[in-house]
Amino acid sequence: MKGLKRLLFALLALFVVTVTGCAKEQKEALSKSTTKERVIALSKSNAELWVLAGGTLLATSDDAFEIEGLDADVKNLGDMDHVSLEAIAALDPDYLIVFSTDPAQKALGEAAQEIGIEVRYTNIDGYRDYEEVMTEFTTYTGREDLYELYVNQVKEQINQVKERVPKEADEKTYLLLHVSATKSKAEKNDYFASEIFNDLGLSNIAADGSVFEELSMEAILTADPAYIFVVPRGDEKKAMESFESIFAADPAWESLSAVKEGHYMLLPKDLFGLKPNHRWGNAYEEAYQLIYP
Amino acid sequence: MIQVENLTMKYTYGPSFLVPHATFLPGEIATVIGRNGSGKSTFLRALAGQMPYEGSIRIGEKELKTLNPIERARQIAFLPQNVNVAHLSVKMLVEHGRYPYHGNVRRLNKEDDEHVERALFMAGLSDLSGRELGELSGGEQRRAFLAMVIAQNTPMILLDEPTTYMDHRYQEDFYEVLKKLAGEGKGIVMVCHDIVQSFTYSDRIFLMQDRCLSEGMTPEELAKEEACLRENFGAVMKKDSDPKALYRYTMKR
Amino acid sequence: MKKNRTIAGFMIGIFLVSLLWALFAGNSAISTKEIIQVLIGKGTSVQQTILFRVRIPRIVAAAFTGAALSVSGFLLQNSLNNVLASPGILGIHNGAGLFVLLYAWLFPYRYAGKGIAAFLGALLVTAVIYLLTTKTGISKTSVVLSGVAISALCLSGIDMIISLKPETVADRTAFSLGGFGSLNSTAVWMAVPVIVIVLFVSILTAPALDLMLLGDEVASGLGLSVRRYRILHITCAALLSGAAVSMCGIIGFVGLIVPNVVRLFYRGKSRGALLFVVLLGAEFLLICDTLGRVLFFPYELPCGLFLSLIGAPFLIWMLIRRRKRLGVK
Repeated sequence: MKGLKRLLFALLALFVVTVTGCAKEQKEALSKSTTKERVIALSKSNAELWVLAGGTLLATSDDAFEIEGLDADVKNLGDMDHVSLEAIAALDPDYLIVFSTDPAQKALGEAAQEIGIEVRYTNIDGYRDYEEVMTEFTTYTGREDLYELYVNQVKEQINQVKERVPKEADEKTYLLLHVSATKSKAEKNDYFASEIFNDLGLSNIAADGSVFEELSMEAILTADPAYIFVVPRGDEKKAMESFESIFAADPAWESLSAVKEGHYMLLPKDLFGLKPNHRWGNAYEEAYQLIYP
Repeated sequence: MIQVENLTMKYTYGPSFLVPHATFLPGEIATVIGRNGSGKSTFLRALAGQMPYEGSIRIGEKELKTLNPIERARQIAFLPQNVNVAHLSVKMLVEHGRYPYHGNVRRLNKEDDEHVERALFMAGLSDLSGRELGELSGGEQRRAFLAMVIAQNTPMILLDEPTTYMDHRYQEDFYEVLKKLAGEGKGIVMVCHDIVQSFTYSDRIFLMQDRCLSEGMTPEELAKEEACLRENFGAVMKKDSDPKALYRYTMKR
Repeated sequence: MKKNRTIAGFMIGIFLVSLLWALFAGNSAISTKEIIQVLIGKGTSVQQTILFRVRIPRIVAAAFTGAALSVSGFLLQNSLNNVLASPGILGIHNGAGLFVLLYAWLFPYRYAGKGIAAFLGALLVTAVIYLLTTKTGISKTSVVLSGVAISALCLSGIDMIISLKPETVADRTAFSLGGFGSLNSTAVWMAVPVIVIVLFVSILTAPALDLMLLGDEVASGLGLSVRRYRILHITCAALLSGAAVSMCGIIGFVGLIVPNVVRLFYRGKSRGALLFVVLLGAEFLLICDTLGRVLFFPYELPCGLFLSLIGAPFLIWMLIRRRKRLGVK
């Protein structure tokens, strides 16, 4: 027993030595470079932004492989919330793009920073955030042409749509619902599509959430929005089925003016469910068509 | 030797108890008797240093309060009424009795081992030393705890209702062990609710009545205080001269 | 004694194997051969980074977290004399979580202080449990139930902060889903020395735990300052949980299961039991984390998944087996 205990303490001591050894390793200074040669972006949205800015990717998460124009040799790191830091380190990237709002990605970003990788945390809540990120990315890639195409022209298109909004009209209200097979949720003003409708002269009844968080029918009836927009999440068909059976089946639903006047519409997922990125102008156009046909 | 002078013990919520004067001598089995709730156990706890008190309890030359727990545990061993039967062997339990000497750091040495072996032998547990405590009968468990207290090798041993839940046979064995200990010069102070046993095995008896401890008396002396016994226990004690009697005293109406 | 020695040898063996496995498990990022090359000083800088700054800190964190949480559970169980006590059940984890969230709210983006916040939260809940146990003398079941209540209280505090300050949600989620996939090395280097010191203190004072198991009066009669040691051990338990939680978030279950599994096969003094608890806890988390790391590389599976998957049936099996053994007798 005595011998065993000694062995144990020796093991513990070995651990402590390793630990202190690693701690020293830690103190190397990080250097920031302005060119990003080896880039990893997690999530489709982040990968798309980098590709739009004319950058090439080393690797990305598996949801991003739908993106058109992705090089064939881009590596797949798997699910965007369960990426191995070792797999990232092995690719020796100098730039890692993650969401700051996704806890798993944020933690991974922090850990990656500690091993000397520069990390960009993105949080796209609206067009302005998109513009900021794209401006930064096109600077890194040196592609002014793409800045012109994907920032200036998009901005121009948005402004044109906004100018067409009738000035004198009353401000009409809307409710934006995000529905999935298990849950429906009213989107507040921090959702990017809410910004589009607000810009087009509507006002969100769930602006700050509170009462609409749990989607209370009473609150909706009281506010009686002029428009109800529905964005499906995940499987579009299943999401709508579940929404129709649970929520729209409520007899009170029929009494809403939006429903009576046919101002109850399904929005395309690619423009209003996922960040439209370079098609931000199209999203404005589409929304305009829905409101002012 | 324990000398008690003008001792008052008080629970935060409840009555206080008084001990004007009492001396417990080495080589003597002293028993505290009294009705339920008379404060017997409280008094024993105070002697064990586990109750706040006013007045004086002197262990040899020193005041109990001034001893630190380890010093105290080298002078007084205490077996409370309620113990936890933990998962361990009899031998390990008895080895715990050596804690006041080896503390947290030192290993058991030869001297400790001798005390442990002797305590096991005295308690008649030598054959059971490897057994799991939980597998033993209630009486055997009680003896195992007594062995632990013996291994503590203190001049004074305090026992709170040590023979509860024991068969008659075990009780007799148990008191034999106590007699042997007293014979070696240990002072034993015991709380016991069984009057017959107390009269049979004690050298001196202390009666707790009206929240006050009387002076110690020999069983013969106390047996003469018939009115007092009747008041406290509803009976008197008569010496049984039959040589085949199990107890030297019997209870009579 | 002989049996214990065999088991100890067996467990050290498993520990070494799991350590080596965790260290040398190859994948497409780095192969076993490359790891050996790095260790003899021939690897590229990328390989060095992977091994020394990703893998080894992770192994260290997993092993120390396992040991810390298991010992924390063991100390709580012994000093409260309640085998159901564990940092998770008594609400210590949620207390730590609440304080981390409060900290994130009051001092956003200052990561270094999170560990201290976690520890303070753990300590506060532990102090409440201690007072409940000692001052009111409530029963063991009531202690566990009040732990559940405290846990719920902390949880509602957490929800309140999230409702008022939604931006703290990220901290909350990252915190409650414990794992070693993305470690904050500052937290690791802060927590490990604390764990090492507290483990030594626990092992040093282990005989006091044995005495406490006999009941307070017996322990006190044997010369133990029961109150002082109980406070010491409960503080140690809080320090260990707080340290572990600050490193990798909440990992439940280990603190409850490991000490109880050790009790099933080990009969002896607490010092020996503690060594087993340290070993079993460390290897348990090492194995779970390595499984999560290698099974679906480059996907990471949370180690809590394997923890419950392996741990729960194992504990049930051990309990049934023991029951049967006693039944035959």
